[in-house]
Amino acid sequence: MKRAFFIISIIFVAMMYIVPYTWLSGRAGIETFAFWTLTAAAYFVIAFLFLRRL
Amino acid sequence: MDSLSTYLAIAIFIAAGTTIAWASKRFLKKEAKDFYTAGGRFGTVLASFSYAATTYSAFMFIGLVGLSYASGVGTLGFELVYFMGTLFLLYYIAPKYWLLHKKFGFISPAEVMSERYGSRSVGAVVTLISLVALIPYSTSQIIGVAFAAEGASGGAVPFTSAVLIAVVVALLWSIIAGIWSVGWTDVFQGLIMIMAGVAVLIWAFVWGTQQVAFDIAKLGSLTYVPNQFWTFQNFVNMTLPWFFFAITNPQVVQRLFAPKSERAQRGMITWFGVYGLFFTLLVVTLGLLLSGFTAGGIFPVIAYRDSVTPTLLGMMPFWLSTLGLVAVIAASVSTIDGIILTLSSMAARDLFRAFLSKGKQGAEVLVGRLTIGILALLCTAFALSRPGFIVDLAVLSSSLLLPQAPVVIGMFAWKRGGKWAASSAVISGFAAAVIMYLLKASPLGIPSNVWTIVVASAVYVAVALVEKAAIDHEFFEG
Repeated sequence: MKRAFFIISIIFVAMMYIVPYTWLSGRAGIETFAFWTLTAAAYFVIAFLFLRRL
Repeated sequence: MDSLSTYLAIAIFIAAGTTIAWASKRFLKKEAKDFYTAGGRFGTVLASFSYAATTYSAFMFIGLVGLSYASGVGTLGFELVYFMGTLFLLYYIAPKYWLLHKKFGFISPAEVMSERYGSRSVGAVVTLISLVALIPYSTSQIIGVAFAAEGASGGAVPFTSAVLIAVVVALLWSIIAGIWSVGWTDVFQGLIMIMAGVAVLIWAFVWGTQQVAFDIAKLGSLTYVPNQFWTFQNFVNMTLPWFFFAITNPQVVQRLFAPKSERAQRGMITWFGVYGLFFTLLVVTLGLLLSGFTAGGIFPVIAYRDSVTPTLLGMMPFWLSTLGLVAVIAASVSTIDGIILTLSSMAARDLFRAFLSKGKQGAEVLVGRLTIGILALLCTAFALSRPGFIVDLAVLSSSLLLPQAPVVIGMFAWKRGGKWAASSAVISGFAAAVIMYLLKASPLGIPSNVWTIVVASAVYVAVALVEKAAIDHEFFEG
């Protein structure tokens, strides 16, 4: 469980850095705001589920 | 808003908070452990609000609104990296701290390090660095209140008066019943912060969109990264200390001792997540919205970004402006009192008790209270000099604390390392952070905070590999 959460966390945190500065780089509009919000919200849900099984 | 109305609103807030703080005295037992950690008796609600209100501060209401107004959506990424880092680290670290508190009765984060690394000198080094590093952060809270009071009252409440009010209230609420008065006033303040934040955002949206259509296209480079402010290098530099905030800032680490059960601790992390995500979106949206209204010509162009929220408060109707001001005071006070309480516990336990006293409980609490007073004076003096932007001061504090990250992680995850590894890592990382801050240097184009954590980690690992490990199996098993 702890290893799975570690791997998922690394992937999500890496996405927070990589995606806005590559795929979304320079793209005007709501996309970057939406990406960061949805990624953080999804991570929170995952963290919540892992916490319940801690 | 005139000065009399503003002072009246502040007086009502202080009276309500002081009543709550005083009422919380009935929970306090006369021992140092209970004064600083509640003896591990906080339920989910108290623990959650206390953690959230200690974390989210004037930095959010003043600093982050201004930063998103001036620099755009990168601010959201910056704060959400903190949010995710905190959830990630708490998942692993929080249960360990909680168990150690239950088993050994630790009251300060530095005390845990002293035990693990086998020397009280480790705790002393960490305490001295924390005392220095957290002055800019505490100061940023006080400045936030002063700016908000100036803005909301149209200058009728001067900067100096607001600074003194914030410091005296924080001092009062931390001394009355320690963590109990801090915790219960955090609940009160946390509720005010979220209610005021929602009300201010709704008012700003309705007020603005009645006059001009919000057009996201007018925000231009504020809607994406990289832009002039949020280069990748700057994003990494600012988020790195923020990512590790939950394990390097003693005022939040100490909160991990407070829950009464593992269930309450899990609840604390979960509700902190709900509060944090909502609050972050709220303040960043407000900043971007106001930037859009500036582009639309209805909100003034603000050159000094910490003045954005105070300017907005000055434009609002009396009742909302008052609520907004009280919320900023609440956000600041709930953080300052937490910081000075934690630092006082470290001074009392990791300096005074470890080196000077012979286990006298009364003297320890007295030293803690004296430290609270001295810290309040130092922060007041620093705030009155108006040293810089709120976000910059907050990040500076976390940069100076960043070298503790490898030492804390190694403390639980690696059985090597003793007092020399821990002390040398913290000192060398702190020195690197100070030097690069003073020289404004980023050697080889690599962000200064990356250098700080690399230096601290490399020194820690190198010394730990040659040093005889201070292994305490009972400690690791918790």
